[in-house]
Amino acid sequence: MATPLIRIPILQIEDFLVASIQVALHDRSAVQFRDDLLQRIHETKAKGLIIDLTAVDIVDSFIGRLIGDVAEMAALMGTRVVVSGLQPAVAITLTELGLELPGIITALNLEKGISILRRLTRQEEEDQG
Amino acid sequence: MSERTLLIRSDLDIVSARVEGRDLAKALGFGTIDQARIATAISELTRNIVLYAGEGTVTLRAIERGNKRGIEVVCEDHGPGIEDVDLVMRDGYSTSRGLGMGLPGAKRLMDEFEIQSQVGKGTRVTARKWLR
Amino acid sequence: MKPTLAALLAENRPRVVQELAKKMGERAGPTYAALSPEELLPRMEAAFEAMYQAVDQGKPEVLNDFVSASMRQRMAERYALEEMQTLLSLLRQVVLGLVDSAYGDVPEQRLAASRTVEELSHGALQQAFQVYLEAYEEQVELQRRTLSELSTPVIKVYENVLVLPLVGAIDTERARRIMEELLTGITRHQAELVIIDITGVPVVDTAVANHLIQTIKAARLLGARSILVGISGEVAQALVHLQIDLSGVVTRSNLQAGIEYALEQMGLEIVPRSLPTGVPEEAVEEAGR
Repeated sequence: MATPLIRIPILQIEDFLVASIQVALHDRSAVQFRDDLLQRIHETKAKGLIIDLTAVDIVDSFIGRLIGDVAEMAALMGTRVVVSGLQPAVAITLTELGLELPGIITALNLEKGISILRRLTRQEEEDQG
Repeated sequence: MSERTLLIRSDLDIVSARVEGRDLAKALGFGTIDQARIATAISELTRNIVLYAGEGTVTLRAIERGNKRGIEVVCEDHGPGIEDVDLVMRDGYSTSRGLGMGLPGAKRLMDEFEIQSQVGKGTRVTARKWLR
Repeated sequence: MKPTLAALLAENRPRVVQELAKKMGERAGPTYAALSPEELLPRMEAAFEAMYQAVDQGKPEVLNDFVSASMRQRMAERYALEEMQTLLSLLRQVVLGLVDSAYGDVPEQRLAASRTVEELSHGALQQAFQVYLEAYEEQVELQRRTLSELSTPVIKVYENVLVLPLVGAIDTERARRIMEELLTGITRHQAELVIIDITGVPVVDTAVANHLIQTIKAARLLGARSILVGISGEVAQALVHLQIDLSGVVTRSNLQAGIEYALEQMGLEIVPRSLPTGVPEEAVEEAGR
């Protein structure tokens, strides 16, 4: 039986990729999302990726770990991952689950996320230049 | 409706279960944070059913004890069962890189938590949360 | 054969109600004294009706329910309990007077009727006390909760900077509330830096420390960095003893140091500035100017 797979659109803004999750993701769609993200990072060599969770009410250990995995793999490819828009209820449940998302930069919203990535990228260029 | 039983067979059912759980929690008067806790716990528990037993049920019901009101979540399956419940409930067991069991997490999110399991027969997890 | 108590009451309704109204007007407290006859009479009728029904149906609950409802309605008034006591007392007095004159020459019936009235009055009075006590306790609980909410204020001291001053003991319930308040505050004020001041927290044990760490972790998920200030010498010792890992948490000695650090993080600093009179004042400026 074919399960409808939800594909989350991944947009490119400047040197960054932005993916905003607007719907509830079941496990298979989440895995597809992860694969799509890594594929796009590889293709675009993006400096940063923002995963926006403003519209997400519930984040359990599966999605939490998945995001952690994405960050780890992205880092290996030279891409910084920012998670933006976590709702207070979600932040609390993740903390209580024991998931910390280490190595991930967090931002209150998409706008701040982008400005953080810009700042970090600029700094990096200055350091290298 | 104060009691619902859902069949859990796939990852789609996990999503349905937690949405139902959140809706029931909201209807019972739980605040946003507790709604998230309850929904997340249901997500963890029903995922266990899919991962380890393949199929099972989750029953969500409104409960009362004295003048306390709350929600009860019962997950049942006829899967392989858990050999060492204590081991599984110990934190750190589920933080392996692969798919962990999520049981300790679910326990932390709820107020009451009981596991009954028999190897070869199945598992039953009951979790409750009370309105403050 | 003399009429039953219920029949007696029914027959004498208008007279009893009038007498009750008159006496209440004279004796009861300010609330009743301020009532006009049009307002007073219906209340007396309701009280009488409740007693009548209780007698007629043989159900004390009818009178008790009236007392509960009436008191809950008037709980906001200061003399609610006193005035209910007076009402019940007068009702008893007037009805007993009626019983005496009606059954005067039939001691058995008089005794039985009197007993009924006494029992009803006594039960109703107990009910009044019960309701008062419950309402009082509800009030206290409400106040306690309001107070504890007030005691976890989140204050915006500067753009992007919040201060969370904690005072008093912190149990699990309060810790939970604090975490929720803080996260809501971070969202509302778009804060990126939070200064958690524990100067006023008397005991920091493993439980409190863990609550703090969880709060800091949750705040981080919202993109806010935390600065912990106000750790006294004793608390520092206790934390080391308990092997609480606060690495990764920025700490400063006091609120001022915390705020300076926060501003620093945003590329700002506080520098002296002279007023026209030459009196130096401090201002916040871009660092390095």
